[in-house]
Amino acid sequence: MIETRSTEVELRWRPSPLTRAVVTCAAAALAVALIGGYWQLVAFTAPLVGVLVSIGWQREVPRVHVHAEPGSQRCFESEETRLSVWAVAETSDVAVDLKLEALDGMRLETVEPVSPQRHTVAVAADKWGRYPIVARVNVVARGGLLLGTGVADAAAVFVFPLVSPQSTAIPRTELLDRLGTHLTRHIGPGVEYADVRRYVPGDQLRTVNWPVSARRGSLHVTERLTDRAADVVVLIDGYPQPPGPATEATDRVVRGAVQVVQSALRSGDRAGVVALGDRHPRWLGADIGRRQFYRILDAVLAAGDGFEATPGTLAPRAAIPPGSIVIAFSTLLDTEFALALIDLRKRGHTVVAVDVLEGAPFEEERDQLVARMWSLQRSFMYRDMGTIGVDVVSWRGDATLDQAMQLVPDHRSPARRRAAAI
Amino acid sequence: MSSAAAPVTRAVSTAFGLVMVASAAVQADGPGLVAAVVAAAVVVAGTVFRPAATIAVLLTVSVIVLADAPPVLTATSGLCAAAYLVLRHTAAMTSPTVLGAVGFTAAGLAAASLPMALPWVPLLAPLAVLVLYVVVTRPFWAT
Repeated sequence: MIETRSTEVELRWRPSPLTRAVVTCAAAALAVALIGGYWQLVAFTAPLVGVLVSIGWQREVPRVHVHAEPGSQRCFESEETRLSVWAVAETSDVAVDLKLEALDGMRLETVEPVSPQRHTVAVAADKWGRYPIVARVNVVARGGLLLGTGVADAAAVFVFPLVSPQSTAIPRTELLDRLGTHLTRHIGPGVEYADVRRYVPGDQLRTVNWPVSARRGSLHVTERLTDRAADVVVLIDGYPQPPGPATEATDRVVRGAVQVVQSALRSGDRAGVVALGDRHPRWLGADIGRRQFYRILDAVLAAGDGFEATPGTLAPRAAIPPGSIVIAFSTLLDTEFALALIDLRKRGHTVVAVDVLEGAPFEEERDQLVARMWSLQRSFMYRDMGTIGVDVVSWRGDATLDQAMQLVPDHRSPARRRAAAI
Repeated sequence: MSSAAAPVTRAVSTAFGLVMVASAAVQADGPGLVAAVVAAAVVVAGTVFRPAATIAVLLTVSVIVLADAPPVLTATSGLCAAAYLVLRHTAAMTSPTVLGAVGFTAAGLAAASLPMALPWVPLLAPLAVLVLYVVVTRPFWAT
């Protein structure tokens, strides 16, 4: 069902152009009558004064509502979508004039303007985000003597990012015991060959390797490597960034997060999202499927109410299932976000932080020395985070995310555990 | 604000404007007639430019002054001026507006017809006008 959003416009009333014209004429005529002694002009002024006085008997100023259908629209970047906005006053004897505006970056075109009160617009934006459709309302009320102006957010258009379709690699880690698409070293149901061993009672007959059994004279079975699924939770850094390169880099925070989610859901993994540091920190539990993709997009842009809110600065435990892989997108300039990463690492998750900041976050050109000191400091920070167990990879704008994610260090498990696993 | 008035309303308002100029210029001659012609031209221009309506009314005042029109014709002209301005700015006249205009016309006509023989009237008139102006515009201050 398409929901209609209704917003009351807060109107500011002031004398209308009609009032100003009548007052001007009456004042001029009265002045001439007084100065020149033309008393018949009093008769000329009287009807004009009567019009002004009639404001006391006119109907009260009405309340005006702006309706939008649909009240919130979702689309992808550069996709065109349509919505209707109309303004309704409580009483019918007032003239309502409606104008629609959109933020910079959104193209707004009026199609089929039915009346001054109703507009159908086609909107499109090239960059993801939340775009309110602003309605400017002019109301002439009380017999045309008062003009009310008001501005209200009539509707919201959520533009989702379009990301490249390449799959991103997930860091190698111990995966959950659930069937999936990531090849592991574990023996179990699967297709990849692992080993041949002697038959023990309980083995399925169809796993018996007949050529080997015939050669050896006893039953042997083929063992196979199993494919397992992962839980991927994306952590988004929504903390306010300093103006300049850091703010521009936040565009890639959302793009990267969406690409990771898209890639995880496509390979049958469960995916969830945690957005920290925004005014409304929020999270969505891990789940599978195409529906989840759109739910995650909603949660990232805070559209609708299909996500949970969290008051703190750490990722809530419910949002990160045990054993899940956390991939964080951040400029890594905020200590609280780094603390959230360290906390997740201490809880035993595999944490990878993707640093989206390119170079130094200074707006104006600085000395070359400053840039070099900055890059040194960053590399120290990478090393410190790596020591704690949070791997940091740098994602520059000229590379794709899957290239950047290839650089996640491969922490091989100790040989003893690997032997035990196989 | 866009013009909400329909073409019909605009035609009616122009008719009122022309009647306003005509009733002011009934007894006009010489400079009064010239002013009336200019006022009628401005009324016609007012169909396109809304601010011209105010100028047309002000020109009508000058026609009345130049022609020294009698109170009855002045009152007719004033009533038409009120209707002209209201219809030029809004789509329709509400009944309180009509009542206010007609009622005050009657009162104004009565006031203008009184013989102004009393010596203190010119002394009191500016004060009375000032008080009237304040009282009338008071409801608009708060908004």
